Amino acid sequence: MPRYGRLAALMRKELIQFLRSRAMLALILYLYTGEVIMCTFAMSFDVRNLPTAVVDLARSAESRALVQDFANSGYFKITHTASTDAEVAALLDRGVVLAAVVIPPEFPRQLAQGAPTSVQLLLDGSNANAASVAQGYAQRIVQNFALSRAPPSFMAGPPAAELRPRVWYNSELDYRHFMVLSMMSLAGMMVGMITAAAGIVREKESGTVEQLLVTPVSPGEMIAAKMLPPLLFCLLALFPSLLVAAVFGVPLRGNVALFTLFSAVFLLSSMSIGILVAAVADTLQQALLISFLVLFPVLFLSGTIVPLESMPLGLQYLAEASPLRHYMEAVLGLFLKGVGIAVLWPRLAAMLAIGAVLLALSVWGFRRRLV
Amino acid sequence: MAGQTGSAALTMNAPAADWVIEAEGLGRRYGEHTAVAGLDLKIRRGEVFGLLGSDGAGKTTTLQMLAAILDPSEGRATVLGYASVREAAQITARIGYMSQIFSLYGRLTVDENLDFFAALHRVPEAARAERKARLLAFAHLERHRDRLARFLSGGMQKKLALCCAMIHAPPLLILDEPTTGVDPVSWREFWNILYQALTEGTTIVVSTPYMDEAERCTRVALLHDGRLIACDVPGRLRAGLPGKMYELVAHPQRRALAALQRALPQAAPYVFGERLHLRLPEGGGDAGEWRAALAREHVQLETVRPIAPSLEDVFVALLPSAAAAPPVAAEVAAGAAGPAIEVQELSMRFGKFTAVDGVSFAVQRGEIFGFLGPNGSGKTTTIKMLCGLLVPSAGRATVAGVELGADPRALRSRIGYMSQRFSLYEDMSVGENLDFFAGVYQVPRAVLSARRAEALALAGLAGQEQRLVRALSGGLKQRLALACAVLHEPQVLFLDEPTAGVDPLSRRRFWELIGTLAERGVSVLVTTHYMDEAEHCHTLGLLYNGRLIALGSPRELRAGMRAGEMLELECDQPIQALALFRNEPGVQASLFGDCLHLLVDDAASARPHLLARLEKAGHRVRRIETVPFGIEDVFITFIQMEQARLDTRAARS
Repeated sequence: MPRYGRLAALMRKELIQFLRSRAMLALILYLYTGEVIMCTFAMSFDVRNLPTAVVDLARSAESRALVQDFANSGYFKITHTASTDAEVAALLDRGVVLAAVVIPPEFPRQLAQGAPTSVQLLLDGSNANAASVAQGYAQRIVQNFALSRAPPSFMAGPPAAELRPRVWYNSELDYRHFMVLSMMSLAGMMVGMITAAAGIVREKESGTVEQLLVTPVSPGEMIAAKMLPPLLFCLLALFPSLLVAAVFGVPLRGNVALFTLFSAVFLLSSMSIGILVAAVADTLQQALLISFLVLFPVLFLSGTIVPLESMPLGLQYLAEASPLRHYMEAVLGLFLKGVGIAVLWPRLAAMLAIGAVLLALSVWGFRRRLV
Repeated sequence: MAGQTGSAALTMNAPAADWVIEAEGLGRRYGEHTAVAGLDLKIRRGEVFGLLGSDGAGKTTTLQMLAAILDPSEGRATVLGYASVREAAQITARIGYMSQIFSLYGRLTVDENLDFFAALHRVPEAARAERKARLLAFAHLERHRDRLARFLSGGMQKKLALCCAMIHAPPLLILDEPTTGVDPVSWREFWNILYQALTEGTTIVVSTPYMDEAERCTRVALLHDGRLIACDVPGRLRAGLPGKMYELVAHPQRRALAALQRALPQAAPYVFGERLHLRLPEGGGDAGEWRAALAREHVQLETVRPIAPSLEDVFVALLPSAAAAPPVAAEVAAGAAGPAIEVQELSMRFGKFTAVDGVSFAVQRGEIFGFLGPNGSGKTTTIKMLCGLLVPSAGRATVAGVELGADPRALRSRIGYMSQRFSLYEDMSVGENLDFFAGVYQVPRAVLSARRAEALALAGLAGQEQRLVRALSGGLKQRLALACAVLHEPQVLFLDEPTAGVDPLSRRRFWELIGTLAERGVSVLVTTHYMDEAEHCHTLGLLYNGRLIALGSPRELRAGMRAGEMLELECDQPIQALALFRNEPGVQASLFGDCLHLLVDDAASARPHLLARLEKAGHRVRRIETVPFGIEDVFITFIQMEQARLDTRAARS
């Protein structure tokens, strides 16, 4: 019972201080809403209005129709026309255009004869992602064009085999659904780390930590009290974030209570990282700097930016240690697939395990590094 | 400001060209906050002008405006004949400025630092070597020319910073709290460099939080809350204090103080070590009245004698009186006797560096034990070990009946600790801070409201529970921090530089609180680098380089000193007189306001010789007499003894 009283006093104090630091509250809300919106718009990996040059060596009705198809797709924007390869090369070199379509002079003839023909697509590969996406679109446009212009004889019988893709969970393949959810997860990661680290480092900076250490308070009590108010506030801040997701049209199929549980466990593990950071750092500046060092690997190993499956096997194993990766999977599962705890419990278990290890480490680090 | 009785060097009808600094209505605001307002100052060539005030009084802002590195938001200043805003570059090129923070290059050697500043000011190659040699000789730094600046002691760094500021022989030196936390020996050497500059005609403006340092200035400006509340020669400031100061010894002292506070609140009685000081109206008018008041309380009055008021008395009298001090309890329950702290051969090493070296001492119940020593001497490290914040490398200690390291939780619930940095939560209110510490220390609910009320009274903050701590003055914060630290009635109280940077009135009140707590049986271990505060302690320990080099009551330490006698000399042109004794063997001269203090082996035999020297040089001596040593003189002697011991040991090995 007496220990309870002490913990209650600590928590009351943390709550008062937390609610009084307006800047921190604003930062949390911003990361959960403004940042999510901004990143979702900015970090779209889709390609639209790619500046494109056209070299129409055929100068025929067919070639013009193909160029029109490119222009109408919305993916390419014909900004230049050129007549020689050298001109195209110059445009690509200067970065004025990122793609060029070269239609050979024999294009209409071959097309009319039903002979195999080809259209050359030149892409600026410096942005490999955009280039490969654009390549896919271009292929589709040319294929459709070819199908519609094929001689009737070609269309007579049904094709021997046909691919009929059907996308599950995100049927319109809208990249934004994925983006908004991963940005929400990332916001949770940043908020958890920063609030926990700031709460402790601020005491170090003002010198009050010494005062606390000469009281009978134990490091465990201190850390517990430090984690509670940001946890509560961050869980509340999740809801405006969900609103943002809804506006972006994310279906939100899953159970909100389950989502809150996952978020709480995830926030606890990200706060543990923050406390570990605070055990090493003496000033807020140092803490933020170290946070960024930690944040980047955690981010890259989460599958947000690059699919984990395309990483070397070693990194894929390492990714299992990132709480963000498990949370991401859980959030995508909850909201896009609508699956429940029966499927997602391994993610919860993994986050709990990571959190427990980090927390133990941070309490231990706190004991050692505080004075 | 004009003087009619001052010495010739201070006469005021000097030609306009003699004003080195002229400021009119100078002020500076930072947003809503006014740091300095309506400052009028005139400083003459050849003066050493002191800017005295507590933290936040506006000293640094004023000096930065005068050094032309900060533009005023109102008023104007002319420095060395240049306008401080329009011709700032002319001023900064000419003056020497030393900021409060470490301004040297830690990874350069002493020599390289000096060369850098010389090059910066384009000191000609020929003059450079000569100036460097002279400054280093004065600062006693010749032996350390090749040491990196960051490996010098705090005192040496300050001296080097001063040498760097003086390498281009500036006509004006502006020094911002140059001696805070410096050991007394370095402090004296630092001032010797300044005296040398003074005799060469340099003008010096120096800010300080220390009253005794301000006494050494030819003129002093008292700053409080950004305003100039007085500006004059120290002697005239003292003379201008209405009434007369008296010092009395009375038993029991605490009861005497309580009786006097009740009978004569306007006399502002306060405890000064074993004595009481109070200011009575001219002629000691109601002498009978206060004597009767003491007699009624059965206080035995031992001695009464008039004393010269200190600059601090003047400052306190001029300060707008803050919240009324809580009345001192006349009677206190006597606690059980016995040591509350026992320390045996305690040592702390950080790698190769020994911060605390075999320190042993004991503190009795209800005793105020003062740790004195310069920055880096091991005071804070010792306290941290005793609080269980650091694990000692060797030795043992018992605090409040708990063996160090045996049961940290039990230890922590029996001690109170207040660190040199404010240990309160600034974004919480007064009440919230009290509630927090009460909760953390598990103060029982039954006594909580009584303790809380008592703490508020102690801090002088009754009825102000809702105020945010951030908005309190430095003095109030300190009292509140103390009230929070004793909320759980600890047996032992550790105070680490509790009064640093606080105005003198708040400091006095703070020491009264400490006295009250001690009388209740709390043992207090306190560190300070204000030498005058040593008088408040029952026992003093002087730490130097991690070693306890002196231990005893202030009276014992003074009595045990065999270091000659101090002569106070009042004459015209004290700065020129000082130059006369600069290289005199057997005489250590220092400026003491408008007087000279001369440390000699034997006053009787030295006096005729000194007088003859002065007369020959054409000085008119108004007064020469033997004065008692200050506690600072005592410590300088002990430090010199310790230094000699170290030197002989170094020579032997």
